[in-house]
Amino acid sequence: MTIDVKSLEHQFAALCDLDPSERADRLRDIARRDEALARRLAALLDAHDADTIGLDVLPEQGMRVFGVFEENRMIGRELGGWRLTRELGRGGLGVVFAAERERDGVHERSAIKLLQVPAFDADAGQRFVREAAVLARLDHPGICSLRDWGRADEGWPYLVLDLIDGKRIDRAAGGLGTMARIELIARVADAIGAAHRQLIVHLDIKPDNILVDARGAPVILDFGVARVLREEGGDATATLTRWLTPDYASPEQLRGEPASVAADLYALGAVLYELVTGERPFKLARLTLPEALARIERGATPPSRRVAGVGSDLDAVIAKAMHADPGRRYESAAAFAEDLRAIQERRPVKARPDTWLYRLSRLVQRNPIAVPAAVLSVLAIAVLAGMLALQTGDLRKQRDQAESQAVRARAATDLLLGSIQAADPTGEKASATSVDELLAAAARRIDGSEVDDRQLAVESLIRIGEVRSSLSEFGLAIELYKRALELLGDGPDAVSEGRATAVAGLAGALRQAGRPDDAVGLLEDEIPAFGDDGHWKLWQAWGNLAVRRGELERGVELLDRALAMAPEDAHQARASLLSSRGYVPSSIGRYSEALEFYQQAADVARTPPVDRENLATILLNTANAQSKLGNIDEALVAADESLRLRIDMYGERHVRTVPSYLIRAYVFMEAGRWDEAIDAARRAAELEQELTGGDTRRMAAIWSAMGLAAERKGDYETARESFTRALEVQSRILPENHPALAGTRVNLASTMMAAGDYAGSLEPLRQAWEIHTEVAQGKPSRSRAIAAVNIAYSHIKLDQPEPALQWSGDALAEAEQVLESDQWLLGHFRNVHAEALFVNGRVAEAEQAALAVEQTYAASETPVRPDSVKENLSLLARIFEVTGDAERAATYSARLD
Amino acid sequence: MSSTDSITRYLLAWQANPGDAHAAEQLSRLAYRYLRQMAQARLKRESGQPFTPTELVHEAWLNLDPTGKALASREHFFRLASTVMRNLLIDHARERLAAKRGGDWLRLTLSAAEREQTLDDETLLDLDRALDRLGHDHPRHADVVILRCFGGLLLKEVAATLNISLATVKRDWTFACAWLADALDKKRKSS
Repeated sequence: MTIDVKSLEHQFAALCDLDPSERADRLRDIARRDEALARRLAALLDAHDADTIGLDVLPEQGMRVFGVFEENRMIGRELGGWRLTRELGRGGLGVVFAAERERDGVHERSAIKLLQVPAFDADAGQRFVREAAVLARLDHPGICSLRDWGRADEGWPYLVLDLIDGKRIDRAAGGLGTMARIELIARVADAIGAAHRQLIVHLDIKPDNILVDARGAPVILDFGVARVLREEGGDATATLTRWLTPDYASPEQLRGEPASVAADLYALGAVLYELVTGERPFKLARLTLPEALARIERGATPPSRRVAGVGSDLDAVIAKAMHADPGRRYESAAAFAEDLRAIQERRPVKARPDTWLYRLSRLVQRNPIAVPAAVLSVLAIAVLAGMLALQTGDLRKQRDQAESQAVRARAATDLLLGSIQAADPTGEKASATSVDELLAAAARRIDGSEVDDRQLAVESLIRIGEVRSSLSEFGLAIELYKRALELLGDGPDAVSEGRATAVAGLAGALRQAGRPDDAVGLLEDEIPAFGDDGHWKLWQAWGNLAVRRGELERGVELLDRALAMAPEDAHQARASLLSSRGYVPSSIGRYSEALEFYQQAADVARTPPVDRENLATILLNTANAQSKLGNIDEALVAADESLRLRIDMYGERHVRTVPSYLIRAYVFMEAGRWDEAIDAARRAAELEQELTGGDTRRMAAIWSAMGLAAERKGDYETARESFTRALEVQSRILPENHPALAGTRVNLASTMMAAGDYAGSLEPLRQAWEIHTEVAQGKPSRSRAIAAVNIAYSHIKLDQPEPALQWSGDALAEAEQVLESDQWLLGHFRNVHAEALFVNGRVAEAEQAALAVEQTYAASETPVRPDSVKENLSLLARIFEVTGDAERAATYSARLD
Repeated sequence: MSSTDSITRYLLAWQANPGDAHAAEQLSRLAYRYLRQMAQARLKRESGQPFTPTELVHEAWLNLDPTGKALASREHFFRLASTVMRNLLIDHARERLAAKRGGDWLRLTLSAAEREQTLDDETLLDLDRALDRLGHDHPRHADVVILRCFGGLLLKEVAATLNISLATVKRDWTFACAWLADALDKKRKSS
């Protein structure tokens, strides 16, 4: 039966305005008369409620299409003094024209690439210009150089490039022998290597982009165009990879992960494969993404099996260049070229499954820019630059708010990167160059005569100081900040934002270097220089300092002061202040108060431009506070958003996503959802292992979290294994007597005790006790007392009355000095001592002590651990059994149940 | 004869005889070139500043009828402009898809890409087809969508163009959105 059009329109309009229950009634009514109509209406109402098509974007989309240039109308136009003469070709990103100009009687030709990007976005235009300026530094005969750039009056960006007269490499290779083809690729690799040393990647290497000129020399086109376009229209990775020629794209690009120099090597390996065999290594078009990735993972058919006359060396070289794991490809284009030349000269190639780079790349990932004095190659420099870019990406967006600041910040980054390059312009010293040396060289260069702009030098020194601080190299950071302050001197810039930043940074580094008093002294000296009110950055530094020292009231006062002074539009700084402010109540267990600050902080941090790292950190704090308040769902929402932000920023396999997983584990633990806690911790452990090799403090924290969750779940085997692994990690990276080792040993011992392995628990407990003894330096120590009481308890369970009594006596004596007399924990100590007295036959003393414990527990304001109460009741029952007081024994036994 | 004159002439012919296919085709080709030139001239004048289709269409009309005395009706022109914009977007999407299907392309769906504030080419073509089907049973509703989405007209301008009340436009718009969302959703589920 067909539906009547008019009734459908009419009824729909009427139903739209009703609330759900009235709607249902009315639909039922209609259904009785006309079931098909009712069903159609219900479907339309569902669609109305969901409304997912987003028609609103269409008008603007139309304008974008209208705003793009028309190729045929461009011929004859002038751009930047060049007259476009004819169209040369089109690619995914734009149209290339031949152009010419005549200047002082000299006739010149060039290629002009007009980019098909939205013409409207002024910010995008500025970024374009900045990135193009970086590209213009590329000067290598194997790279088509960028001569100029600009925007047409209509806003279309264009690049002026060398006009290359040549053939595509796959066609040019037609008449050449295998060795000559290999040499062609080796020369391409040389050129790519030169670009990589300038920290520029191509990311779209394919035969279309490599021409061979009349003299037989290869020239790479479109270098860095990906980079120029990177930030156009927001998320560039997405825009660029949504439609991608897949056969030369590395798996990490296909997955949409951040790609770097290793992706270029993969693509070049694929081109080499094609030149040698005449076929592409994979044909991925029309496959789904998972299918495509699986195929790459399996590897290409070795070239030697496709064509005759290819040796196994070439197989190995190509396999290495195209390894699915970017960390296991060649460490640089130069190394790739070197192996290609080794093949030509029949020398042994270096391609082999595992190289130092494989391990190194893991090291590099450990922490952005955190490679302590490790030997690094050109790749590492590029990785470093990538990380700097990642970090500065968000910062840059913030800084763009204020133009003058933006220019300076950008210049500072460039100078920093430039200095890093200058430390190794040829790449020849690469094998001996570490990030550490690079940073040092950068600092020297900035500090030397090479930088005229004092202000710029100061900013750069502060930035390197920040990097050093983030590497926990506080001593070096302190020197850099001090040098920055010296440079500022007493001149007109003496009191400036720069000075405030340097002083605040110096104070932070001093605090973390264990010199809080120096930090306070510095701030006290500096604040008056900033006028009667001081500067908010200094109050912030001082506030944080006070909070970390436990001077909470003072901290609150200082942070509030900073908050009152910080400019309204410094959103990210304000958010970070609010977050610090929330840490104060959080540190003393006042989570709902903390939460208010964190929520405010998150709101402020969401003001664009968003510093996602800042927001992610605030959300982690939020998650922690919510979980402590028992609001597990809210905690998970915050933890998940934080995780998502970091994955967006860094990809999942990144050190910064690990803490987000760890927090998830803690949240689940608070909720008593042990299995999920263990799963989250396990994911964190896998990532940490993969990214860092696992010898980190955080790895130990992850294993400990997993151990705690497993112990509480009652899975003692997993708990024991986890604590053991935490301990192994800590033993490798911490000094023997580090308190963290003692803490883990106590956890391990508790698990063993819970599982009934009292004999096994004694060894870790004694070691923990020794560490605490050393740390306590003769002062009474709570941790030491806890270790001792556990030792006593294990001896009791092992039927060793004498050592039990000795340890319990010592433990109690110490506990009485450090614990408040009404604290139930002290009751636990007394009970263990009573138990020890009892097993030594000192029943009367035991009775007295045990009864006192009963009183303490009854009077305790905080809830007593049920096991402790049980132990006390059980002891009393046994005591009265021995003394023959059957009635009381029965009473306590009864209460036990 | 200037392009504005030709447009006015064909517009009048089309108005007089909406069934005149030749006039309709000439007119939309002229209008396309005209609108596009206007858009680019404007970009040039304003150094790449963004503008909306509403502005463009109004500006285009003012150019055609600077004195307000033209015999051609503004409403007809708005309809024409909306149709031209629709065809433009659809042709563009069709071309791009064809190019991609012909070449070695891999379609990647990235979460980041979904945030983009555009409809992808396939959705756009689906929408176009759905709009035709909507127009079959509910012609006025389809007109509202075309004027609003492709011509960028405000609801009250849509009302004036179609000579109906604002309340009706709003109702039609709501209905049409639900109808199209339902149609696209079905298409998505079936593929």
